[in-house]
Amino acid sequence: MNRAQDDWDLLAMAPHDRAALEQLFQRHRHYAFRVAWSLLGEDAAAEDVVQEVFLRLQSGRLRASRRARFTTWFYQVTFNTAREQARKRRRLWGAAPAEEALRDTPDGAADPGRLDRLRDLSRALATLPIRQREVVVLRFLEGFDTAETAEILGCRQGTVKAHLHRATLSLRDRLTAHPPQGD
Amino acid sequence: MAERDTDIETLERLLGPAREDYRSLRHAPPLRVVPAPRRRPVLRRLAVAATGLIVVGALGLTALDRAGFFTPQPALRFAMPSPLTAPLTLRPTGSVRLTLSTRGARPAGGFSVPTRPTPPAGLPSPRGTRG
Repeated sequence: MNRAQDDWDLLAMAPHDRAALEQLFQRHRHYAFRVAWSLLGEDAAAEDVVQEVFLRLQSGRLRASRRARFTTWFYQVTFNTAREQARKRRRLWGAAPAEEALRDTPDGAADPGRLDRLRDLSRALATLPIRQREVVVLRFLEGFDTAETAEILGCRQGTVKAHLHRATLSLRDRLTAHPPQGD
Repeated sequence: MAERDTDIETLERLLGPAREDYRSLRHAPPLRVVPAPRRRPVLRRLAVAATGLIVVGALGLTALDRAGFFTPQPALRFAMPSPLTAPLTLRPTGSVRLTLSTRGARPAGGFSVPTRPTPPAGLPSPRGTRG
């Protein structure tokens, strides 16, 4: 049984089997956290998103098709949850990026420049509109191709390309005019 | 305006070092999801009983309504005397007619009956030449 099929099976068992839910959580929690963190810019908000995502997985009321890749579907759920969290908080960006996250990283203290680079990354993302930010996160940071990004965001590939191009121009202008302080 | 090959390269140049730090973020709180509490059987039985009572009550009210239980009886409907159905129940009142004997009398009320002016002798009465 391959990994994706195994994930679907775990998802089917999650509403009744705590061990299956826990296994699913251990496999995918880091992806959910960093995506939520990159969209919301706050550790606490990202943690709430992670909990909400797995609460929804446990409820068993989410529509899922096994023909899709589990990762794609999981990112869809995470993005939708992060958007709802942003609407609840009436803001899209926090002020404490990655402090707690780096503290828990095993080699977080080995490279003191990491925190600065992550802070610069979060500030750069914060300047983008939400749609462009989502495209940059999926296409560049997470490494999805254009088709997968379009499927996760529920839009056309041309829209993904346009958003990425605009985001690149915006980031280039901003980071060239105001280079980050961390490096 | 579409994505170009240089877009990813530009992002790599701008944010490339931070991407590795981003991917090394391996932080997530422990799972706090608790199993949803199952509905207690007592509550389920109460819900079934209440639903049954509501259904039986509605059917009973419908049956009583069809049997005319809520329709007023005819005796009650015409309990008040009607001048059409019971004319004898009305108290007879006499008719008041102005007679010559009462013509000059002053009524007891606060108004007076106007008197007709007397025409001069030789002229016909304004009331009627027909007689």
